[in-house]
Amino acid sequence: MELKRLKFIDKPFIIVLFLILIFGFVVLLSATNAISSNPFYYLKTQIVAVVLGIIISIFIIRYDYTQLSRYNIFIYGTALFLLIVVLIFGEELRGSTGWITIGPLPTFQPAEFTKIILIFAFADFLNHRRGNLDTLAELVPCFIYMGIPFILIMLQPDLGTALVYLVFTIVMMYVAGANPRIMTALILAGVIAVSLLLFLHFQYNFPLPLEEYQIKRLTMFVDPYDDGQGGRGAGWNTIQSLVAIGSGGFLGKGLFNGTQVQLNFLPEHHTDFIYAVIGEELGFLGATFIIFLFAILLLRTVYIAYNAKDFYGTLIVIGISAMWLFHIYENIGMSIGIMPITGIPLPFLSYGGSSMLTNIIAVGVVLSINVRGKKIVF
Amino acid sequence: MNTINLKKILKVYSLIIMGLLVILCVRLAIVQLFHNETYQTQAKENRIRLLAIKPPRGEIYAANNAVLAANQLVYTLTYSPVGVSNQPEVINHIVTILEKYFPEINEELIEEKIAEQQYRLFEPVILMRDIPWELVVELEEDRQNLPGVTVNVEPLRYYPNGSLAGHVLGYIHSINEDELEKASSEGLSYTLNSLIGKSGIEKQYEVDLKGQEGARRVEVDARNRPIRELVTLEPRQGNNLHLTIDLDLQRVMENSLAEQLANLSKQHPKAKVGSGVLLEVKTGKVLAMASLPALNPEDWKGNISQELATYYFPQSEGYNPLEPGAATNRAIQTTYPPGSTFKPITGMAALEKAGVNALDYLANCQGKYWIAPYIRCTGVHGNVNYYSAMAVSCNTYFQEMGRRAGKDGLIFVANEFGLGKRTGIDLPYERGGLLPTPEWKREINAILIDRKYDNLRANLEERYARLFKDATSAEEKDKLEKQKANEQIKLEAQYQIDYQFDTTWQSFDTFNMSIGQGANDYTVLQLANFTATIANGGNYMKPYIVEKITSHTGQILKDIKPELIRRLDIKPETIAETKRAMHGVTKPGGTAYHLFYNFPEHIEIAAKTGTAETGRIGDNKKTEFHGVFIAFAPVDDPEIAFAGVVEYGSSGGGSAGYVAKALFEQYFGIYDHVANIEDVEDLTNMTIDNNE
Repeated sequence: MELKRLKFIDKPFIIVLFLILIFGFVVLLSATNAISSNPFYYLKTQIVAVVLGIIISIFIIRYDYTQLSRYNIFIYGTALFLLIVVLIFGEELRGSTGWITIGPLPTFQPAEFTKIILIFAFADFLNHRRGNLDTLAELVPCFIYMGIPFILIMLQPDLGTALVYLVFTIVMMYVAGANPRIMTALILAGVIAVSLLLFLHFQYNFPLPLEEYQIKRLTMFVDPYDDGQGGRGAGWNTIQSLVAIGSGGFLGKGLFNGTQVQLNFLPEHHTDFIYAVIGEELGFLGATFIIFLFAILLLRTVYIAYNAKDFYGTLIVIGISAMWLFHIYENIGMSIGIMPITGIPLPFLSYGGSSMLTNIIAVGVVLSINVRGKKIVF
Repeated sequence: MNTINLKKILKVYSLIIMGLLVILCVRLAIVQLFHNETYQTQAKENRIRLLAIKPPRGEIYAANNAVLAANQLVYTLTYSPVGVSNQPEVINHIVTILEKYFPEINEELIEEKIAEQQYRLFEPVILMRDIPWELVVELEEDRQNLPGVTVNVEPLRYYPNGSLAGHVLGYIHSINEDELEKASSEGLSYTLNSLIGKSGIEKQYEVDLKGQEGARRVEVDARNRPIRELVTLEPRQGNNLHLTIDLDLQRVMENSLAEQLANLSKQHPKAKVGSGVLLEVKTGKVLAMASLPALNPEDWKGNISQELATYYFPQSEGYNPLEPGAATNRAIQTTYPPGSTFKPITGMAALEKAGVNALDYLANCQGKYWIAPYIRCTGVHGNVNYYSAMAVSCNTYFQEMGRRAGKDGLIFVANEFGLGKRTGIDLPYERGGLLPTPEWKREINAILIDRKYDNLRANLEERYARLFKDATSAEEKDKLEKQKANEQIKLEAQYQIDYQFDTTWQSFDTFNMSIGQGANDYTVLQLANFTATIANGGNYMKPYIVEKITSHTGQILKDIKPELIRRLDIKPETIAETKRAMHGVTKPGGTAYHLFYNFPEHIEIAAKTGTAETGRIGDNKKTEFHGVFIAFAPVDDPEIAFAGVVEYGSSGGGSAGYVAKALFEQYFGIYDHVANIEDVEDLTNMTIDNNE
């Protein structure tokens, strides 16, 4: 790859990304202040993940992604293999068996990396079927292709990640030109079916293939005080997160001054509920500012996708974009009580090595496609 | 076409991105801007706790400023269960450490205490008050194994004199739910951890003694661990009470009572209970008030052992003289027949209402009264007048006086002297006793008679119902019918007679009353106050124990003045004659001569002995008597009055009289008992030992 291509790199994307990362480091310092005597422990881990991600990304940017198309069956196989391995050898952490330890490496979640691998695999799969996605019969193989990893991840069970798969699958299919009527009909049918199942479950104890506590966690956000323990049970996180964000007001209580965070009323505030820290300590201003940055980041991915060298690249970028979009919407949504709690981290902000590494690698992938984009005139 | 299509799709996708992020912003605005105040309040409620700081209780002083109740700082072992993940282990560990010092503490007890407080867990649960320093050290060293366990310093009541004046002081103990409910309905701030006065002065003056709780506003974290203090409101110590109790006299009274009981119980095992009251006659101040078996307020500091619980509140059914509960203050909570100590009342009634002259020999005592039921006299006294009859306690003379005064006269005078009515002393649970009246008799006996005859009527019905069933012929039935009607008429006639007799005041009621028997039942305090009223010439004072309330800085908040309840409607000469007659009791030939014969001449004592039938079911009427004694001195210008009862003391002069003697010796400086009592506590303890 010629270095001169690097000047075509999407600058708004890079700038916004670094703003988000720096913003994230600062908030993380405050969030971990109350849970660790060494204030830089978490930050260090986080920065290591970013640096590692950047190093890997440099290789990715240098490498022409189009070559990957040839190994697609292998890529897809790797994804399934990882998911199966984790099902068998995975360690349980916070109700999910998604964690794995290999030798001296820190525990990591293969499901995170699998997202990108699957985006690659599915992008290639769709690319080959472009123009032939008009009938239901033509759509079914796509569903089977993504249905297998979906079911594997559901078995862990990791409903959050499964939903991520579902979302980028649907978005990528739309973009690939799948018949929008059939797609919309299917989505509607799915939504109705899930609603009906939930209704039947709550009204008539209809059995669902999920544990009661999981169902409760999913539906609790509607009325978090109705958890049978006056808000001290399954509703606790939603309530404390809302109280944190709500009490932040317009300007917030200031970094290191959020009582909900610093006194640990808000659980998981450095991981899943990092957004509540922003809301409490930096207020409406900080909370909307970060959404603004995410908006730019996501819109730039759309721009990059549109200008990709080939449709394979477009699909990959859109897949990553959809993945981020869902992560952002779901994570912030659960923090402010409009989405169920699923334990999905906020990209670039939540503490967590696997998630950070995956997202930085995803950035590398986006940039790799970016620098090879159409605009480059030889 | 594909490109155009892609552009359109991506445009829609971009709009979806914008749309979703706008939804988030709108929701954020609602939560952060419109509901900001609600959530701020919630955040505050999350983290701020109010913790009460216990105020030191007001101190209690005797008349000579000796401390009767004070506070000392003690180590209190508390436990905050919130945030302790391995609670059973921790509790087990606590029990193991405590075992050496408090073997009675077990896991269940601790869990019970935690459960009791489950809705106020941010307040530490108090496991033990007043733990020894060695235990504090041990706990501190083992800190890491004892999460949630803290040792605090807090003021705790202590009574430097142990059981001395124990019944007057009363005791404090953990508040119970009824008390908590009552207190909170009165707007007083108590918590489940509070101690509250349960009897005596501690109960009566709870509001004054309590003080005002301080508060700490503490910021806590999600595990309810305090992070820092925000504001502290210092507690205000309760007000101090200054009692009228003279500690020397109190000591002498208790010691003397204990001595009497120790001696008497050798002959009579039931002699376990005694009580006495010493009043200052011009003011109504209580100089000493004692009740045995003793109450030691120190006993109530911690958890009460089974043994102590039985000592204070025996579980036997009904009253068992061999197991008298020590919690009762016998001077005000138990009533006794006054026996012959009632005779001054009878005498005054005769002088006042029947125009009797004290000097006239109005009875010739031949060993028993000449009118039915011919109640026996204590001896054969021949011709007696008021003076000689009083000195020898002649039943014959006083029955005659009672007859002359009439029941109304007796009741009037007894009433004037406050017998059968609460004195209104500033102590809780004072009993009224009973001055029998015709109304009372009718009321109580009407019920008894009706109950008896209702039973008889029912029996009759039942019997005839059976007979009717067995009857075969109509003739037979007819006969039975008539027979039944006859019996019914007879029964009703009998009922009328019985009813008439039992519910109407009979002359023997008057006779019984004249000599202090029958249904008369008064507290020792009433007897003391009646004696004091004779002594001071007819001023019925309200007896009181607290004479001054001061703040902890020494400022006088309340100065309690003697209170004259009424000037008696009895001629001064009548009272003067009675004083003279009672003086005769301690003169040669008098029933109390043996007690005071060696007193210096200038200190003259007036007294009356009493030997009262106990009236208790199961007691022997011929051999078992309470010893009752009343006295005042000096006769010409009385200062103090005494009344005392020694249960099963056989006679007043032989039991309670010695207590009066000791007190008077002490008061008038004839003999310094205090200097010669070395181990008052030991003596009282001895009586406790007898009880166990």
